[in-house]
Amino acid sequence: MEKNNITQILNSTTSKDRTDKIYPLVYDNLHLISEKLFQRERVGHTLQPTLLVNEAFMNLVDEDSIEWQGRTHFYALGARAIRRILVDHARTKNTAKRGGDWHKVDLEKTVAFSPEKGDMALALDEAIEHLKEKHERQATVVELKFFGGMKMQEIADELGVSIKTVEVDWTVAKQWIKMFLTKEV
Amino acid sequence: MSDDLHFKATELFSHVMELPKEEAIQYIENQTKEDTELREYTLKLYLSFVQEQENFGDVTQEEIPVVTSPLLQKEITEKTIQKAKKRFPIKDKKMWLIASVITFLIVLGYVYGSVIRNKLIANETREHLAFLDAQESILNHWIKSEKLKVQDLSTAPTVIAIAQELQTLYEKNGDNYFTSDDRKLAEITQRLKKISQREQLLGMSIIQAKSPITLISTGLLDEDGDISILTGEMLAEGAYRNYLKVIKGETVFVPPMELSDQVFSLENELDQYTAECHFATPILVNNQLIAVLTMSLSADKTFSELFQNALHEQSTNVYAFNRSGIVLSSTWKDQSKGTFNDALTIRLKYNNRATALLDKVEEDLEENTPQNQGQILEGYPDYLGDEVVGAWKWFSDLNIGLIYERNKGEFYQSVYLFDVTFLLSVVLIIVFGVIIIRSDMQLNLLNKKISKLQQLGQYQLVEKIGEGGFGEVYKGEHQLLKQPVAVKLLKKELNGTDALDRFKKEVMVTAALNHPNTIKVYDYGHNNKQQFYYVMEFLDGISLENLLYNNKEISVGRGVYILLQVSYSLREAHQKGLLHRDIKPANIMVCNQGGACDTIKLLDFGLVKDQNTTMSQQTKINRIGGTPMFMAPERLHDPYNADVRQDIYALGAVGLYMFSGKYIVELISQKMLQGEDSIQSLLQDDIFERNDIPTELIHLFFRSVSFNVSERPTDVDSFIDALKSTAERYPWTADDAYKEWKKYDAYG
Repeated sequence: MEKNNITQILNSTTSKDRTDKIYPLVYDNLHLISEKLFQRERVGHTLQPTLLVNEAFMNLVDEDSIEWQGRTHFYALGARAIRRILVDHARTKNTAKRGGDWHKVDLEKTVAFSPEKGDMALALDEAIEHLKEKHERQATVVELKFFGGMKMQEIADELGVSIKTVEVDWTVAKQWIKMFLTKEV
Repeated sequence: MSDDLHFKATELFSHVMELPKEEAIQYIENQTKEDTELREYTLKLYLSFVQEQENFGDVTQEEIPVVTSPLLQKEITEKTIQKAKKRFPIKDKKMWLIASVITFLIVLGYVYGSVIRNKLIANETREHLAFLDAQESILNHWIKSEKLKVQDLSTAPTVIAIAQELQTLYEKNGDNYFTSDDRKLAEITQRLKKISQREQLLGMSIIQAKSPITLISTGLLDEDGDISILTGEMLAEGAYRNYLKVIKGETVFVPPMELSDQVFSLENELDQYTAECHFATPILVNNQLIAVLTMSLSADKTFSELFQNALHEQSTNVYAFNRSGIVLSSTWKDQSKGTFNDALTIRLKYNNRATALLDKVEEDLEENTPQNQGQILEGYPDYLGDEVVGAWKWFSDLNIGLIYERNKGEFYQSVYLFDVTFLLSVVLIIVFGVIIIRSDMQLNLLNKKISKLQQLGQYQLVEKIGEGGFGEVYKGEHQLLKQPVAVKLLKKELNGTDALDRFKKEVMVTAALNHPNTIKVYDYGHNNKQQFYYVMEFLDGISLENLLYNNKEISVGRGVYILLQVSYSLREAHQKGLLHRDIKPANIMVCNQGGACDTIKLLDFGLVKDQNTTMSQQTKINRIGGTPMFMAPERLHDPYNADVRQDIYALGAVGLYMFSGKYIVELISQKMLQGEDSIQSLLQDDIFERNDIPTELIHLFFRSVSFNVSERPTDVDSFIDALKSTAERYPWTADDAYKEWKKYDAYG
């Protein structure tokens, strides 16, 4: 599908189309980009997920006619895709889940996309899945924030809630995840 | 764990997030009295949160200025103000720097002031010494001329004759000289008297050459008035000293001295003695000393007169003195009455002690190398007890000195004036300096913490919240009120263009509207950097556009309620002859105003048109603006004749969009592709995917967006009436609004 089309769909408010049609394209594109990085596999080489999503964005979307809501949604899809990609990659590498000195980890600063930190991605992925059962929105916030590197306002716009809501969700979710990873819940 | 548990815990957490630790725990415990499971769970979450805060600090602050909770922002502002109010922020290096600079300046100022002050004083005192020098000069001249006179006299034949006669007499009678020949002595006295009178002297006397005995004198005559009682008397210490000089050949000036110092012993005490000064010279015959001649002058009339030129000034005193502290010339008795003391009547004493000046003189004269002059600039009491400053000069050859004294107050007048002025200006500088520094410090501290964004008038910009074609919108804060506002800024590049006119118009129009559903304008202005801005109420809410973006179905009641509020706002505008012309979901805000959920606000009267302005005026101001999605079609081909029905069209379009998610333009192009050529037939029921929309509402919308203007509701009132009848059956209560709001702002 050409850029024009994709952009139009993103701009429209019919969310089914926005997600259903666009997500696969995003995933494929990101997969392509990240494969290159996996091949390099330089230790200590970490990348902000937004950089990757930016690249995918430039590949797929017509920047001049994209509305800001469309852009935010694109990044949300990107977050989902990155998560999937990292997890899949970690699994293929048979990475073992690490033990939990999660208290020392500052989840704010943890960079999602680092191929050698695959174990973190795995653990978080599982945590998010479990959180989804308790509080779906909080799980989404974590996904968007952690794997997508999205800012609070962007997440709020994407989910259609107030910033305060996102702030509280993120704070609580963070604690819950920590506790989950250290087996306290 | 039930699913509910996490939800409830999150809810509790949202209330305590910003409280201090103890209060938070207290609150949690209070709220979970019945539910221990919930309590444990919530506390676990909370304590983990606290732990993280301690480890990593308050992370939300990093996100400033993008996003922070308004409460946190307020706290930061308060904390910074408190810091600025602290008197000595010792940790601040800059403060020390400033303090040391100030101290340095003060010291510098003091030094400078002292230098000037001393110069002032030095200038004044230079005068004194100069004056004394002048007096010395006068004195010397007078002495010189009088010496010449006495020398002349000593060569006069009459005088020589008298001297020789006396000498003969003395040789004949020896010690009994003075009782020997009264008649002869009286006669000689008369002759001497005549000479003395002729020369206008107070008196004359002749003293023996070989021993200091007065042979004859015209002064201090006895009861008979014939012979002086001094005749045959020996000279006393003071006179004797001078006598010795004269017999060596010198002509001397003898300053006034007490009688007891002149004559060794007088049998009869005298009531009064008029002070006199003498000039003595040897009488020579054939270069042989035969006697000593003295001429005496009234001290007051001659000697004192020398210094009188200074005495007319009330506050000054000039006089001669000797080492014993006796004043040798006439001086002030009572300055206010202008009376004088005669010479030799005053001793330089105060409170039975020598005056400070006299002490100084004594001190100096006892040095190995005396200066023979000096000053006292600090005040000291003179013989009258007045505070004076003084200068003195000592003539060692004459064994007398001159004193120049001046009233301390008068002397220091100019200096005091300088002192006061200087001190006053220093104090002022310090006060201002402190004020400036303190306010500067406050500003600096505030600026550091809050944001690097600019200040407009009384509003401090906090963060950007939106962007438009011709400007940006920021969240701001009134400096003093600390309440959030929205500040709309015009892009600087557009300053000179018609965009500025439009901007100004927008403000004024919006400010003129009062309806609660119209955004309130608080302020308008521009700072000196030519940045135009206006300030509006800050809305806690979401635009209708965003609300619908995530395609949640909006309930009929809510949708109708929203449209109704917008219509009310519009009604006021139309009544005032104004058209909005840019009604669209992005310009409709759904807010929570102090707990009143679903408060609707209509924004952005940027394209507003005054119904009554002429075409030429309007062309300049308005370009074709507005979003095509909601713009009435007649605007495309007839942009200048606008009326209220354009706004009605927009309302209808918004209504359609709300419930169908579709723009009319989309529908048109869509249907056209399908081969429909009549626009009216496009608007069928089937555009709505949902089936709960009441028919009359649909028809209202269709009518409003009719391309045929006359088919539309004629004015907003009729639109309102139509809406109201639907609203009766689909009410939207405050409770409904609250519940719906909670979905958006779960923890508000």
